[in-house]
Amino acid sequence: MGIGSGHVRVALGFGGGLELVVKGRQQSVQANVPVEEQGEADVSMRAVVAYVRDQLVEKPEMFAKDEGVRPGVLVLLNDCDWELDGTLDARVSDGDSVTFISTLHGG
Amino acid sequence: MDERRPLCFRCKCERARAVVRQREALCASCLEEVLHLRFKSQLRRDPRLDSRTKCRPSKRTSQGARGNERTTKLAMACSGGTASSAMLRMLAHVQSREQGRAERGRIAFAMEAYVVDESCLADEQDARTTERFAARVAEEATNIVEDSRKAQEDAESSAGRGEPLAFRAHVLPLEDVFEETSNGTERRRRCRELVLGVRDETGREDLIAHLRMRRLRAAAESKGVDLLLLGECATRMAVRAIAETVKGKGYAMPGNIQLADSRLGKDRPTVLRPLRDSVAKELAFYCHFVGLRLHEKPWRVVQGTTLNGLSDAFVATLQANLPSSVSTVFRTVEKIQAFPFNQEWEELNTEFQSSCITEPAQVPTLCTLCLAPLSKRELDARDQADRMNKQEGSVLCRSCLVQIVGTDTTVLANLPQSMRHRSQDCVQDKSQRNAAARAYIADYLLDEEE
Repeated sequence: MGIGSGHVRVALGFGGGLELVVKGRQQSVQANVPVEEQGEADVSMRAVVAYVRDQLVEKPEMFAKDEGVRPGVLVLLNDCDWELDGTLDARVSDGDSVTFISTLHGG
Repeated sequence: MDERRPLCFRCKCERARAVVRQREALCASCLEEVLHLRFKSQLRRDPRLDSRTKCRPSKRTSQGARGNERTTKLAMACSGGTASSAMLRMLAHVQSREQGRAERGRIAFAMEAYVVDESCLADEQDARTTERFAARVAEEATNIVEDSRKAQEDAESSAGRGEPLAFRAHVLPLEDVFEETSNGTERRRRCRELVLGVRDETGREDLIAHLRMRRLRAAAESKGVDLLLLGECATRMAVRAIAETVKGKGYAMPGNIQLADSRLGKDRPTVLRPLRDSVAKELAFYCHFVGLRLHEKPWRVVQGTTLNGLSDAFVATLQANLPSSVSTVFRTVEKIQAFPFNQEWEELNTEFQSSCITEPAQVPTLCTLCLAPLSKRELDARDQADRMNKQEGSVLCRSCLVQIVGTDTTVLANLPQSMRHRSQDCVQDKSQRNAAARAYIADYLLDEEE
């Protein structure tokens, strides 16, 4: 996969109990997230969250709320808080890593 | 991307990696340092851990003789989750490396970890995944402590100095609360029957928490521990404050959110909550940045939505919209008057010595199930006698009565002995209680001659 291929390779990680709602209970997944517009070399975090919600989790309501993540779920883009990069508007490039960590305790 | 991130608010050298508190951007090193300082500062509030004050631990009358002055022994509850793993690493970090002597900037104590094995509550089909869960958490706890110590030795070139400090992570089967039953299989059966017999999902979740706490306290006491540390952070406290208020435990709630809790008396381990200054997000980032491997229980006993879960989601939603929410809730409830048993150690010592007998109101009656102090209203409630069929020694708070016991007394009958009899939990023994009661009503007693 490379630039212009229509997909962006992202290394996804799940922690804090979120791995239990991912299909196959995986803690890490290599994903190919489709670009939002043809020819783009990166995707927005919005698209990555939507991809995870629609393709990877068994119970979407445990992971996402509206177009964002459920309150209590932390997101790291390349091991840094996504709030530093603009949260849902942050750009994710080929080879980047996105980690989702839940701080909720179930119930 | 890295260059576009702001510089750390604190050191102004490294690029920030986390946004915490009121939108403060910190680098990984500063976040670690801030959390360690806060933690140490909370620990030092107990003079048994403050090397700067001279304090003799109390002589323990149970479980073997104790010397006049010895290293404070502490134990921490470890679940494999974020807060307890973070606390374990912080403890290893602040512990003095020389036995019995406080190094500059560190605290002298002996420590061990307890992992409660709840696999007796998992379904049969989950047996393969549950079998070794607690053992894995205990192994990881040992790794965290060893790695932390090694990293410090490497950083300070102090390898091989002094005797290596002891550390052990003990696995405590939950079913051992049924001490009166000697057979392990029977204990597991009784534990499952008790928990699964609670119809209300919130009640079931709460009962598991009470059993877990019982197990931890019993282990700490049997091993001569002075302080039992719980990894309850500010977020957890705020959630608990909301949940307990909703469950009608508002009276007892302030007792569960203070730093220290000596409700079972000064000669039994004090429960400490030294992470109460830190929010869940900070601890989650800390664990991620230092590379701690976390473990999440792969089974669930409670499937539906509970009041605890709803409170959790409520606080998380508030916090997502307004990052000061947890702090606001926590600081507000902290201002509610706490109980005498929450006082810090030196004041508590004085309190127990001088007022125990003359002011029995200072020593609250505790619920036999959850150890919550009962309000006067709960004590007076008529349905106590009806529900208990005048059973000697059992007193329950309203929340346990409604949520856990419900309308059928099977749950009561299935409880372990230690949770059915109040006398084991009271600070005073029966003769002292009688003396206290006599003193309290002395003015109204008729003399023998009258």
